[in-house]
Amino acid sequence: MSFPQPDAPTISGRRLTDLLSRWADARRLDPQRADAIKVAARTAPVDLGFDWWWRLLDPDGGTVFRAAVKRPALAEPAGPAVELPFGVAVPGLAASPPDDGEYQPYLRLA
Amino acid sequence: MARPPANSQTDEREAAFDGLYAAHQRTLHAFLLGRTGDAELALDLLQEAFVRAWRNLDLLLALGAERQQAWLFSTARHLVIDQYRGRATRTAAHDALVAGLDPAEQTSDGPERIVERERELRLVDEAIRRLPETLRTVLVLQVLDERTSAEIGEMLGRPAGTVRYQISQARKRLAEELKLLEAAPDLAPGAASTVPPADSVHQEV
Repeated sequence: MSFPQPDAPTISGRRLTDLLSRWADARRLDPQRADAIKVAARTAPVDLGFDWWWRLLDPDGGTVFRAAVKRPALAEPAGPAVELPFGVAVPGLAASPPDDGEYQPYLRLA
Repeated sequence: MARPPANSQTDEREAAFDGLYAAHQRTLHAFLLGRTGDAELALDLLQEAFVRAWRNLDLLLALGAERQQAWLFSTARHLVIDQYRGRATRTAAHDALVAGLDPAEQTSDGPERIVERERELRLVDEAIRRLPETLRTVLVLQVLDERTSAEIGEMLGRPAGTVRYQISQARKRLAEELKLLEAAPDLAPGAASTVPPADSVHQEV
């Protein structure tokens, strides 16, 4: 590594101003690039972050659940309550049809 | 036949956004270049700041001009911080920016003069990058965006007198850095690309 020469000329105020002026001219955004950035900003794909998903799926008032709450209540289903094997009665749930090989192909395989 | 409302609404939004962009892009670019000292990164962050502006356009349009600028600056500050959080080390992007310059468009000088100008630009880039961030930001806002000390002070929330002093300090430090860089070829741009900025970006948040 070499060290700066002790007698290196000082940058004068005038020269510094000229250097900075040329630097600014070179580094300033030209209209084409500025325009390209503007268009890119307007058309950037939406990155769905955590907040977006949270607003959608928040169990307490998320968009999805608000829509579900607004749905009119279902009418009381007709038909007798069905007793499930573990002791829960579900009104309106019809008893399952008997096993049918047509709809349960695995039975046919067996 | 009247145009569908959706289209006219879109046109209005785009026009409003264009106005916002025209009013603030230059200042925001200077601010980001001052904060990062990295030309390519500043452009990336500028775009990201306006992506967010576009997505929050309704909110922004409801604000006054002064608060719009404050919103954009705040967004830009956060982007800079996020950027530095995500980067273990900084890399100088001067090469990329210089590569983006078309010498034929810049000047009709001969090749030697072009090379000399490019070297000069790199030198100033590097010298500016070495300034403490506080000084770099005010200097770049003054030089690139041609703002007065009072305007810069208003943007950054500092008294105009402080900004004047900081600009004078920035110029003094810059002259010293340029002198060092010119006198020591191995300290010139490229050779010193791993040198971190003079201070942390978190200093002025």
